Amino acid sequence: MNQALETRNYDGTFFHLSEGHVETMRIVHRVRAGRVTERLQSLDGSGREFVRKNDELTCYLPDQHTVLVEPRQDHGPFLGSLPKFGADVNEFYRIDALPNSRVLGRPARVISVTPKDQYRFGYRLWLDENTAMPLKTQLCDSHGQVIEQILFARLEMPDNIPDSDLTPAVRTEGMRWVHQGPSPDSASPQLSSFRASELPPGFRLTVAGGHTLGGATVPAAHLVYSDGLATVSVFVEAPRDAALPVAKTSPDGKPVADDKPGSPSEAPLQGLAKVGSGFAYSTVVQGHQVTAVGEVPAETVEFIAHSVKSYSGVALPPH
Amino acid sequence: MRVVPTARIMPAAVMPVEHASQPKEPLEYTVPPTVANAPAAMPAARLTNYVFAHSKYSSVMGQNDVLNDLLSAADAEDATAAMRAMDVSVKDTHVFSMMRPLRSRASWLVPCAVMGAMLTAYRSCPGPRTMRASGWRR
Repeated sequence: MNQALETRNYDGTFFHLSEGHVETMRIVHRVRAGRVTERLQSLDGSGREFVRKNDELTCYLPDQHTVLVEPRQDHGPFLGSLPKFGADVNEFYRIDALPNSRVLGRPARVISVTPKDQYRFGYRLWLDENTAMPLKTQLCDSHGQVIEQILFARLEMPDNIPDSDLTPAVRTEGMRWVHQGPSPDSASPQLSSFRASELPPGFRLTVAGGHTLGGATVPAAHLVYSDGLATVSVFVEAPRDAALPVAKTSPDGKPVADDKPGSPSEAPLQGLAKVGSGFAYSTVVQGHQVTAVGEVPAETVEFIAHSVKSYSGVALPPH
Repeated sequence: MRVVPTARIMPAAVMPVEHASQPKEPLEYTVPPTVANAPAAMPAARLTNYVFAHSKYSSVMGQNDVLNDLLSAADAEDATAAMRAMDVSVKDTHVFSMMRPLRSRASWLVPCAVMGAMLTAYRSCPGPRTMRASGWRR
């Protein structure tokens, strides 16, 4: 029974509840000879499907008649490079065992992970007593209110999963295939000199690299900060264009918004937006666009984005 | 990906229907909330780029490295030894002992992370307008 989940197959159907929306999805996860293949399929509406085969993610979007392909290395060096936070996590989260319950007719162990401050979300987990699979998970705000929930309606762990279960049901005839090229792995020295000068308690830098965002010609600096549970990405982009913005107007003379990245008329982003269960906050620092995004409260992305500054010519901060 | 302003949409107020001869008004409408520090409207295309890039590193459960360690240290002889090895202080004993019975079965964090990453990517998957604007190429 001592079988690591890295080598375990599973096939389940679950409900994803967020922001008043419910979506039914099927996930199939197979590990064969060390190679991981996953398929996430929306069983509602759009019929979208995601298939990840080792380092490539393919997004089938029948509602858009499009297939997106992007290199992905979700299990690459990043996971291995995370620092060991040790007992620090217990400084910022309280972990409690709640009374056992049942999910899907199976006995479940319930664990609550409660944030101790306002800078992170909490979790509640219903773990299968026999397999330790998360039959139900909840993402909660600092008041314990559920923000997002995943609830399995069916879960199987077969010894073998046939290829047919990992083959997208989407018919791709006539669909447009779009490939996202690999991103350079480093930003310019100037962009790489940006760091957060202050962080919410417990957050530390775990990744510093580069990522070419869609439409951009040069990679942005991509910093990832984590407290061991929550992660926040910070993107630092060079000024889009040295020229003064050229205001576009419609035939009737009204101003026209143009948010195409890289466009000379693109205005810098400023402010807060909600994305899924998290937030994004954008500001301008020393002429550079800084955006923090993560599954954390708004205060956290705002705090981190505002603390970013250039350390060009001086020592980088220790965190 | 659904991108919505942080300001909550207020419950719709029902407008009374008076006379059919009057100009037709919507039966209900939503009063835009007045919120201090209301979020600026971020272009969806650019926001999607950020979220999609972030999705490589995020998950519903985050990168639960520490808890993963706690749960996957299955070969440790006992909780105390394992805690010592991980430099977990004594005050954390209850946490470890609570999770220890699960260790021999496997880490639940792996599927959490896998599903979370996939879901994040799923939610942030760009629409056609976003793809045009963000330079995805054939």
